[in-house]
Amino acid sequence: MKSSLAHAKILVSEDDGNKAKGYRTSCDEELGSKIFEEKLRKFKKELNRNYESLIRTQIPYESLEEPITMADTKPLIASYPITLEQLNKKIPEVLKETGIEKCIQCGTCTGSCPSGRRTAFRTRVVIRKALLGLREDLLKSNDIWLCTTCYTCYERCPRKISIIEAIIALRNMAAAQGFMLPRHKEISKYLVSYGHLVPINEPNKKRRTELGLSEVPPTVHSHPEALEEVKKLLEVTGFTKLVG
Amino acid sequence: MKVLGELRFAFFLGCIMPNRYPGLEASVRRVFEKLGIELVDMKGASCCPAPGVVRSFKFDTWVALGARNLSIAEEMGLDIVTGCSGCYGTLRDIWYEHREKKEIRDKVDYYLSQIGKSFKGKIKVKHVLEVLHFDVGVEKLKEFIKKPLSNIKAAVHYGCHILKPSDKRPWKEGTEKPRFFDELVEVTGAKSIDWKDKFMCCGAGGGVRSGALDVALHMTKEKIENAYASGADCIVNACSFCHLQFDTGQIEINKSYGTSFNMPIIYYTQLLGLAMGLSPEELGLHQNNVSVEPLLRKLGVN
Repeated sequence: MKSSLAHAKILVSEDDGNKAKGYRTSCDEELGSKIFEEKLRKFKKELNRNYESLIRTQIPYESLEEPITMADTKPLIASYPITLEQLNKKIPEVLKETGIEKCIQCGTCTGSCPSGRRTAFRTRVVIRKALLGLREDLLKSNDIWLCTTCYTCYERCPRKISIIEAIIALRNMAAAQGFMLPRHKEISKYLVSYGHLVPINEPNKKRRTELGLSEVPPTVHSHPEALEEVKKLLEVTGFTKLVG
Repeated sequence: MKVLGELRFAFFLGCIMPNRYPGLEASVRRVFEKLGIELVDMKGASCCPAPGVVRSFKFDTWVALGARNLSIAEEMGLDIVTGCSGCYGTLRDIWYEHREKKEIRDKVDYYLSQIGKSFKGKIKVKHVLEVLHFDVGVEKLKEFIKKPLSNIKAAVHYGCHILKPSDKRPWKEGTEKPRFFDELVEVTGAKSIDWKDKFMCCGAGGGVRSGALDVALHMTKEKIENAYASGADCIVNACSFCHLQFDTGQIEINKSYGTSFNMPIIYYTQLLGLAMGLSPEELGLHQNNVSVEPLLRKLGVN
């Protein structure tokens, strides 16, 4: 809180071009005063103007009934108002553990990303937004679902940030808040019913037999008691409820 | 080096290998049998579960189901071998984190106690290529080659999770230009050719195939075009999900882009099996969506 106020002060004083040159060291006397309120208003306006140029790929969740297509990832211009409260939000522990606070925004991740090569997904922007407290915004966006988890960014990151773990953490938050893609919910239900995300079907039973393999594999498919164990774990970890 | 007859593993199948590409399963079983390595079924194993989707939706579910699969092998007293790099990613990462982090051990203990199981970390998790590279070794493999595939140019696709994250993997060659897979391919007599973006992802992982098929196929299309441009006769892979993405994906790409790709897609033990004298039918090569006939003709098989 303290550090972001200090940051605000600098911007406020820069914004005020007619008055003092150089940064003020304190604005305590202005706190609560009308002058301060006015400066804060100007600061927020400036901040919003800065963010208007921020490229993002967000589309409203409601329109995600169909799988994401290349067209859905065209850059859109952000239309925030961002509040100071949002910017000050504490970074959750699970994200801190990935080391994202060490990010120097060099863009090696974005430059290495095979998905970003063809879409407007920008790994660096995802990390920055997560740090800025713009997580709500991220959670609703397509961006976090365009990562193939290939780990190239992680291998090349000069700060050794666990980028994939950060994206996984954001996806977990998104899912918990109801922002799961419908198709992902659909396939998850196979896991709940069969213990396999991709269960056996008739053509493949035939293929197995042709090859001299057992018609059904020796997995949960052949062991109902084992399937019950899997279902129990899906229940106690909250997966069944999440995708139900 | 161990006598191959002493090698025994718990064989983890996953989902795609047994339920969509049983030919890959047959090829692993038959090649290992010829090498004298015993594979024991893991009765009641489930989905690994998939690292790109299940881990993305609920981290604890991923840990709990993965640990259950590990516990099955531990009860059998055997190290796991799997031929799917997605399954390998899940099982190896959970095995690694279980060893390194108390928080993960606590989660595993708690969830497994709910079904009367436990996992203590006494076994290891290996990839099929890891067994062939480290436990068998290229020199030893040479003795098993009966029909060298000498005029074949192979575009080797490593895939992602067999290599990365590198701190949780056994390879010592880095992730930018490793050679172990090329060496395993070249032992069959085939030539591993250089091709653009050889180490790029196939596009399927991370829930992108299920959530954004269009984007996934765009990546696959680029890889297949690169393989064609290099003059490859086939793409060789070591992951059932990559295999599905290249083989089934090619049909989907042809449909949506109007292309007429027919690049044969070969799983590593299918290639090795051919060189060891197994028939294409025994290796399930006829069950691919994209015909491997051009490749077999070039080899003079059939």
